[in-house]
Amino acid sequence: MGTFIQQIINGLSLGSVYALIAVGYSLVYSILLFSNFAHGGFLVIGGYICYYTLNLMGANIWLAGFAALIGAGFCAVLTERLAYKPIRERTSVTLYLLIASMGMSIVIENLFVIIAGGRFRALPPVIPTAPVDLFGLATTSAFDLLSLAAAVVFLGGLQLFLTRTKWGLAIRAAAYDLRVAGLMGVNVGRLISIVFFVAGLLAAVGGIFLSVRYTLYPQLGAITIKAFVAAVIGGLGSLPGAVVGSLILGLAEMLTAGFLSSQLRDLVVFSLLVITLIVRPSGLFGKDIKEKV
Amino acid sequence: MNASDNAVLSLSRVNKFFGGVHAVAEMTFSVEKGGLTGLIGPNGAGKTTIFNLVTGVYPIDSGEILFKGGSLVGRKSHDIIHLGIARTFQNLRLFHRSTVLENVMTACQHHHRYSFFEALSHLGRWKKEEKVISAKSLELLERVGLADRAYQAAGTLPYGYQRRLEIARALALEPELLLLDEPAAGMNPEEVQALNGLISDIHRDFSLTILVIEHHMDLVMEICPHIVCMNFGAKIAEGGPEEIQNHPEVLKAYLGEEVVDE
Amino acid sequence: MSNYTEGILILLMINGIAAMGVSLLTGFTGIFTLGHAAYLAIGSYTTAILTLDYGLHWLPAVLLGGTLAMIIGYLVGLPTLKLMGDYYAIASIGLAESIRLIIENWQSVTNGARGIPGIDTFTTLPTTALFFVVMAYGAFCLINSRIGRAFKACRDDHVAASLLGFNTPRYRVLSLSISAFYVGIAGGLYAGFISFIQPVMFDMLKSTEMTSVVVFGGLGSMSGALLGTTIITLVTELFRPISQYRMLIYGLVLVLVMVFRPEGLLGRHEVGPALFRQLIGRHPAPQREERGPH
Repeated sequence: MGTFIQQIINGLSLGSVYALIAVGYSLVYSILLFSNFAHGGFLVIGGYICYYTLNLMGANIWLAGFAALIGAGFCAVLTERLAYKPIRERTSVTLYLLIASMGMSIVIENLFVIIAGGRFRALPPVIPTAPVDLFGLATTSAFDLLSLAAAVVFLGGLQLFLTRTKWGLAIRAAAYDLRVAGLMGVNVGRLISIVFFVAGLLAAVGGIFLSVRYTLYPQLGAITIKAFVAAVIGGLGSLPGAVVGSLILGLAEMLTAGFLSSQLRDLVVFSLLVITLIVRPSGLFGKDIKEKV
Repeated sequence: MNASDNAVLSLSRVNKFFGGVHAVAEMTFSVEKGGLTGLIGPNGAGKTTIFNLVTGVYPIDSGEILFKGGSLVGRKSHDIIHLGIARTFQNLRLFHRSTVLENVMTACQHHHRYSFFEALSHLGRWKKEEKVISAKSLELLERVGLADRAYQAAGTLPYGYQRRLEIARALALEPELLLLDEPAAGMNPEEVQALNGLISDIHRDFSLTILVIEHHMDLVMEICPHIVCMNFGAKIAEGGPEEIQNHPEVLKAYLGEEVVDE
Repeated sequence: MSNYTEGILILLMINGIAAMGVSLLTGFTGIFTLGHAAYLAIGSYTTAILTLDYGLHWLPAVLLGGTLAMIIGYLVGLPTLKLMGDYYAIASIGLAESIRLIIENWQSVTNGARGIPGIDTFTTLPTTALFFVVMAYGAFCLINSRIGRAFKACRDDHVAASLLGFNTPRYRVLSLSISAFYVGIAGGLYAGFISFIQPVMFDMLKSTEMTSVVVFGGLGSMSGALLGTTIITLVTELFRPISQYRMLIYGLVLVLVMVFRPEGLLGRHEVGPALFRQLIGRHPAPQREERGPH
C-alpha cells in the first residue's frame, strides 16, 4: 500500500511536469495548427540557462529560475520570428512549419552539443530532494512534492492569464479561429509571440525539474515526445486534455516502474498512444476540427 | 411544397446548428429533374451551408435530404459525389500548382479506372485509359473556353477563368446534379454575361439539373425559372423570377443591403 | 571499380529506394513522417532473421521484409490517417520508438541491443541496381497515374479531394503502405550490405535524416528526392571527419530550405526534357507549375 501511494505521488509529480510541457505545445498547436517539435529545445534552453546562472552567479534558485524562464521564453519568440514567421506569412501549408520546427529542434540540440558538450550535468543541489514522510502512509521526496506544487502554481497562473486578461481572451479567440481574431482587430503577430513566450516559459519550468530528476544533457528535449503523446491522448490542441493526458502518462509510467519493470515504462507510454488512436482517435477532449468550406 | 416524384434533390425540414447559431432552419425545398434553380439570399443567409450539408461536408442535425429518392444523410462526401452530385466552391478550391488539364483529369479519372498494378507498371489499360481521360478533359476545357491554357498552372489563370475551370472540373465528374456556388463572384458584367451563356449551354447540352447560389440578382433572374430565397437560415420565398422580385419578404431581406454587390 | 566506389554506389541506391518511399508519402501525399526508420528496421531485421535463423534465401527474405513493413504501415495508418492534423507525425515517432524498444528487449529473436552480426552479404552492385531500377520505374509510373493524381489531390486540398470523390483516408493509407514497402526493401538490402545490424542504427536521427533528404531535394519531386539523397550521402561521406557538425547542418538545412525555398532543390519538377527546356528558356514546359496567387 505504501509503495502504491508513493508511486501515485511520483506519477502525479512526473505527470505534472509533462503537463507543463504539453500545455505549451498544445497552446501553440491550437493557434497555428502545427506540432512545434522545437518545443523540447525550449526546455533544454531553460535547463542550461538555469545551470549556468547557478554556477556563475551563485546558488540562488529564484534568480536562476527567473532567468531560465525569461530566457527560454525569449528564445521561443526568437525561434518563431526567425523560422516560422517567414513561412506562415507566405503560405498556409502547415507541413512546412512542421519541418522547420523539426529542423530547429535539431539545431538547438546540436548547438548545445557543440557549446556545452554532450556530457550529463547535475544541477547544484538547490531543490531539496530529502525524503518526506506522508502521515506514516508513505515516503516520498520533497522534490516530487515541490514539482507537483510548482506545476499547479504555473498551470493555475496560465488559467488566470487565459481567462482574466485581455491577451488571454484574445488567445482563446484565436484558438477558435486565428483569421477571424485578426479581422476583429487583434494584433496577430504579437499574439503569436505571446503564445510562444508563454510556451517557452512553461517548458523551462519543466526543463528545470526534469534536469534535477534526470540530470541535464542536450538530448533531454527528446522527453517532450511524452508530452506530445500526452497531448494526443488528451486531444490535440485541447489544454485540459493536455493536462489530463499528462497525468495519465505520469501515473502509468510510475506504476509500471513500481510494479512491473522500469524497462517497460516507455513501451507502456507508446501502447497508451496506440490504444488511444484505435479507441478514441481524436483523444479524450478532442474536438473534430472542420475546415471552413 | 412536397417532394414531387420529379424531384432530383429534396430537402425537408433540414436543421443545422453551429454552436448556438441556427445556421439552417427547417429548410424545405426541392429541385426538379432537369431544372435550373437559383438559391439566393443576403450574405450569411446559409446558402453555402446548404451545399455543405448536401455534399456531406457537415452532418445535418435533423431533417432529411433525398437525392433521386435515396437519403444522403450520414453519407461521406466521396460517396455522395459518386452518386452523381458535383459542386464548385465559393472560394475556389483548385489545385493551384497543378496544370489546368491535370485539375480536370483528377476529376475525370473516376470514370476510366485501371488497376493498381497497371498504374504501377504503365502496362495494360494504363495507356488507353489515360489517353481517354486527357482527351475528355481537353474536350471539357474546350467547352469552357480554356483549351489553349491547358498546360499552365491553374493558379496563374485570371480569376474569371479559374471559376470556369472549377465548372469544367465539376463536369468531369459526369454529375446529374451540379451545385454552383457563386460562379459569378468577382466577375465584371461582360464576364457575367458570358458565364450566363455558359451555364445555360451546359445545362442544356449535358442534360443537367443545376442548383446555383448567386449574389448577382440579374444573373439569377435571367437564367433561373425557379428561385428559392432564404434569409437567416430559413426559406422566405420560392417561385418564378417575377414572383420573387415582388415578394415583400425578399424585398425586406434585401432592403438596406446593396442588391447588387459591385 | 574499387571496393570503396562500389560500396558508395550501393549505399546511394539503397538510400535512393528509401528516399523514394518517403517522397511518395511526404512529398506527394503531404504526410510528414518522423518514424520511417521503423520500417527500415523491420525490413532489415526480418531479412536478417529469416536468412540466418531459418535459412531462407535472401530474395524472398528481402521481399517478406518489405511486405511486413507494408502491413505494419497499413495498420498504423488506419487509425492515424483518418484524422487530419499532426496525428500521424506524432504516432510515427511513437511507432519508431516502440519498434526499437521491442527489438532491443526481444532478446531471444533479435539478440537485443547487441545486434545481429554475420548477415550474408548478398547485396552486390548488380542486385542493388536491379532493385533500384525496378522500384524507381514503379515509383515514376505511379506518380504519373490516376493514383498519383489522387495522392496529389489529397496533398494539395483534402477537402476538394473528397468533394471530387476521393476517399482521402484510403488514399493516405495506400500511400503509407507503399512507402513502408519501399523503405522495408531498402532495409533488407541494407542488412545484406553492412552484414551487421543493431537497434541503435534505426533511431530517431535516422528517421529525421530520411525525411530531411527528401525535403532538401524537393517535396513533390521523385528525382528531387533522389538528387537530395545523393548529395547528402556524398556530403556525409566527404565530411566524415567533422561528423559532430553533421546533425547541426541537417537541422540548418531543414530550416533554411523551409524559409527560403520550401519546395526544395527541384520543387515539383522532375529531371527530364521538360525541365531542360524550361532551364534554357524555351517555351514554357507543359505540366510545370508557377506560383499560385497566394
